[in-house]
Amino acid sequence: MSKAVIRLTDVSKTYDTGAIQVQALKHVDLVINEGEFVAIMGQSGSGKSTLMNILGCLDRPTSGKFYLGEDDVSVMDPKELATVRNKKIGFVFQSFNLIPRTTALKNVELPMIYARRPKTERRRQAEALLARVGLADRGDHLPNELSGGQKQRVAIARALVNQPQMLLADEPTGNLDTGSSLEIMELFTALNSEGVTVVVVTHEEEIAAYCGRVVRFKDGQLISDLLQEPVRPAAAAKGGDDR
Amino acid sequence: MTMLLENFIMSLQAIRANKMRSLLTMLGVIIGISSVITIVSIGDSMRNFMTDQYKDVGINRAMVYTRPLDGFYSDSDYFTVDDLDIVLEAMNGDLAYADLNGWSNGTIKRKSLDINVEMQEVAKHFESIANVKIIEGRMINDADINGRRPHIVLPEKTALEIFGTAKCTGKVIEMEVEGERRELTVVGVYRKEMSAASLMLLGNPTAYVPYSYIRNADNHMTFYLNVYFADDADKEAGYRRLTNVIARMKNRQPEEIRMHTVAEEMQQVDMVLGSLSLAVGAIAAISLLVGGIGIMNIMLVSVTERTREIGIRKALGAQPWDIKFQFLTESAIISAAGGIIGTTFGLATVLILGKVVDIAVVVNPGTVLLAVAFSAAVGIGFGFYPASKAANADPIEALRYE
Ligand SMILES: Nc1ncnc2c1ncn2[C@@H]1O[C@H](COP(=O)(O)OP(=O)(O)OP(=O)(O)O)[C@@H](O)[C@H]1O
Ligand SMILES: [Mg+2]
Repeated sequence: MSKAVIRLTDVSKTYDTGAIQVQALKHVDLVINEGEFVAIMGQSGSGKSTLMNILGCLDRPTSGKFYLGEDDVSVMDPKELATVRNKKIGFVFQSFNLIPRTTALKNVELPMIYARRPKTERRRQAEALLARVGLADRGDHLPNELSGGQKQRVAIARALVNQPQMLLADEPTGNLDTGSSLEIMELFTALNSEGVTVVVVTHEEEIAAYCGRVVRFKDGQLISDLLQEPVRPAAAAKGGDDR
Repeated sequence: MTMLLENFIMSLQAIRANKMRSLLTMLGVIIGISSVITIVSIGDSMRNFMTDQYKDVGINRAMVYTRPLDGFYSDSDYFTVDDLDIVLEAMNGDLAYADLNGWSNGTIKRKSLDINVEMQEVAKHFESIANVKIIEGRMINDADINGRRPHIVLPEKTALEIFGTAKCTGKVIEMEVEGERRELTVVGVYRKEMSAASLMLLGNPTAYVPYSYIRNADNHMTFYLNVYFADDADKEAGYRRLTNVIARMKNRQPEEIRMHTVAEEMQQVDMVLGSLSLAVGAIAAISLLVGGIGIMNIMLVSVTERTREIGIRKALGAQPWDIKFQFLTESAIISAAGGIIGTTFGLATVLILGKVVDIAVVVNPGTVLLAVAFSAAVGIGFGFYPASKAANADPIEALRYE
C-alpha cells in the first residue's frame, strides 16, 4: 500500500457567525494516498470548499486531526503553514486568483520568489511551465488580457512551479466552457501520471470521470467514497485548440 | 537580496498604479521636509550673516563707561583725551586701540543737494585695527593725530559722490561741521565690499578724521571709551584688567564700571537666532509628522484595497514577513521619494532666497541628512502598523474579502 499524503481523522469545521453556527464539516475521516487522482463531489453548501481550504492549509479544522504526510498541521504556526503552502501544495481556485496588473510570467514566478529561488532559475522554470500549459507566448500578458481558460492555465502553472506533492483544485473548471474544462482535466491527468497527487472539486460528472476515485459529501458528511476506472485523455473528445 | 529587489519592483508597480494618490501622499512629506530645510537653513544663514557683521564691526571691540552714582554723573565720570594714554599704557599691550567714541557730521554745501559726510573721530594706532582696504593714498596715522592735521580718509562711495573719482588724494574738501567751516585734505580712499543686507544693518561706511583735529581741544570729554583688545590678548582676563584699571583711574569700585563687548553681544544674538530657528524648525517638523500620518492613512487604504491580493500571496506561500516587508517598502519609497523631492525643493528655495537678499547661504549637510533620514523613518514608522495588519491577516479571510 502506498504512502498517505493526507490523513483526516474526525475532522469537523464549525463557522461561528454570531447568531447561528454552521457546521460545514461533520466528523470527516479521509485518507488520500500518494499518486491518487480524487474528485470531491456534492451539492452546493455540502462543505467541499471548506474541506479544500483545510487541505490547502489556508484554514484550520475546529476539531479533529489533519496530517500532511507525517506532519501534524494543527501544531504548525503561521510561518510553517506558509512554508507548507509554498513548497508542498499547489492550489488552483475557481476564480483563478491571479495577481492583477502583473504579467503571467511574474504570476508564475511568485511562489518561487517566496521560496527564495534565484532569478535565472525562476525565469527558466516559469517559462517551462507556461510552455507546459501551452502559453509559452503569453508570458508578457496581463491577467485582464487573457481568456478564462488561459487564466486558469496560468494559475495551474503557478501552482506547479515549486514542484508540490499535491495539487488541490476547487472547481477549477467552474468558470470555463466544456472545451477548456476538458483541456484542464487532460493536463491534470498528465500531471497525475507523473506522480502528483491531484484533488479536484467538481459538480460535473464528466469532469469526475477523469478521476480514479470519487468522494461525495452531503451536508458536511462524507457519504460515499468509490474507486473507478478513469477516462484516459486519448478517449476524451479534444477541445478546440485556442493557442 | 533578490527579495529586496522584487519588493522594490512590486512597490514601484503599486505606486505607479496609483500615481495621483501616491503623489498627494508624498506632498505631506515634501512640504514637511522642504519647510524644515528652508527654515533651518535660513536660520543658519542668518546666524552666519550676523557673525560676519560682528566680525566686521570688530570682534575685539568693547565699550566702557562708569555707572553714575545716585543717578548723577560727576565730571570725573567722563573720559578725556589724557585717559586714553593712561589706559593704553596700563593695559600694557593687551589693548590695541582706544578712542573717545566720537562721531561728527560734515555738510558739503552744493548748489543742488548738500552732501553729508559722516566721520568717525579716530585716535592713535587706528591704522593697526582698521579693517578696510585702502585703494588710494593711506589711512589716518599717528602723525596726523599728534599733529592735529586736517586730514580725512573717505570711503570710495563718498569720494565718487564728491569728486566723481576715487583718485582724489591731495584734494581739499570744504565742509561745515557743527556750525564751523573746515577744510580737510583727502589723504586716502578705502573700499569696503558690503552686501545690501549689511548696508541695511550697518549703514554706509564712514569717513575717518583725527579726533584731535576735529575736537581741537584737550578738554574734550565723553561718556564712553571705545576700545579694541589686541588679537592675541586673553579676553576674559583683559576685560577684568581694564575694569580694574578704569576703576582705579576714576576712584570707583570695579562693580561700578560697565562694559559692553561685541563678542558678548554677538553670542547673545547668535543664541537668540539659534533658538528661534530651532523653535520654528520644530514647528515645521510637525508638518512632517502630519505627512507621516498621511502615509499611514493611505497605506491602510492600500492594505484594505489589496486584501484579496494579500490572500493570494499568502496562499502561494508568502511568509508574514514577506507581506510586511512589501508594504513597508512601499511606504518607505513614498516617504523617501517625498524626502528627496522635498530636500531639493527646500534647497532650491534657500538658494534662491539667498540670491534675492544677497547673503551667503549656509546649508548644513547634517540638517539635510537628518531631514531625509527622518522622512524615511516616518515612512517606515507610520507604515509599520498597516504593514503588520496585512502581514497578520488570516489567509482564508483575506481570500474571501470582496
Ligand atoms: N466564512 C463562512 N462563514 C460562515 N459560514 C460559511 C463560511 N464559509 C462557508 N460557510 C457555510 O458552510 C457551508 C459549506 O460551505 P462550502 O463553501 O464549503 O460549500 P461548497 O460545498 O464549497 O459549496 P459550493 O459547491 O457552492 O461551492 C455552507 O452552508 C456555507 O454557508
Ligand atoms: Mg465551494
